[in-house]
Amino acid sequence: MPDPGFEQLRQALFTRGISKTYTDRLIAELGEHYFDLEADRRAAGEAPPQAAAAARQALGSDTAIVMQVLARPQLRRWDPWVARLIGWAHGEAALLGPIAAPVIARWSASISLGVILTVGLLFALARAIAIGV
Amino acid sequence: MAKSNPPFMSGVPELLVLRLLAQREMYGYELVKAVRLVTGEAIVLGEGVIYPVLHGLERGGALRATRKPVNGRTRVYYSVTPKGQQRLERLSGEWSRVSSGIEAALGAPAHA
Repeated sequence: MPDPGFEQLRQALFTRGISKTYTDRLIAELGEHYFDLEADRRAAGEAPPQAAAAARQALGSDTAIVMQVLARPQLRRWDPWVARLIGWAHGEAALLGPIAAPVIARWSASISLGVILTVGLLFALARAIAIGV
Repeated sequence: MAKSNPPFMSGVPELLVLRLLAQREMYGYELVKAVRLVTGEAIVLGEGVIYPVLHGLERGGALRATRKPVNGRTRVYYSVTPKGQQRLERLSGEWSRVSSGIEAALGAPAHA
């Protein structure tokens, strides 16, 4: 069976968060489909290189296949409930972010100042002990 | 260069897949040939695109996939579940309503 060259498709799916298990299944079925296409064209009298090229073209572009996969959230890496949880958390953060921002900023500033003062005092104390005051 | 389908065709592949698989189980290559045949090649799909459609319907419980050894190869056959049958009925109804509306609009006299 000629190599239909699915490595780019595999890589494109991987970088977009599609699981290896699903990618393996998709590519296995695409490979079978390619095999049928190529065999039919050869049976119709096409030369092997032409049959192989036409079969790969008939499968469609990698981009079109990736788009169809991404259009179906249930085919992505995470279980639907995880995706919903992340979506919910993201939505809550987007909703509460502008309201909570001043409070978060005040707390961050207070904690930072506290840490700086504590470290400074400890440093001064250590120096005082070292010089025997 | 292959013809492509217009954007309003979104959802049509699912409808066709469910309709054809409701008649009998098929594997992907067989299904693509059946789509081409029954639509008189009016619907053009990049053939690889059928698999995400099938897998999405399977994950949604509308299709069942069964692996069968055929001549030393493994083919994945798809068939419609009761849930898929319900989905087919709903999609068919929606499509009939939309196409009737469009036909009525196309048949109506144009406004000035």
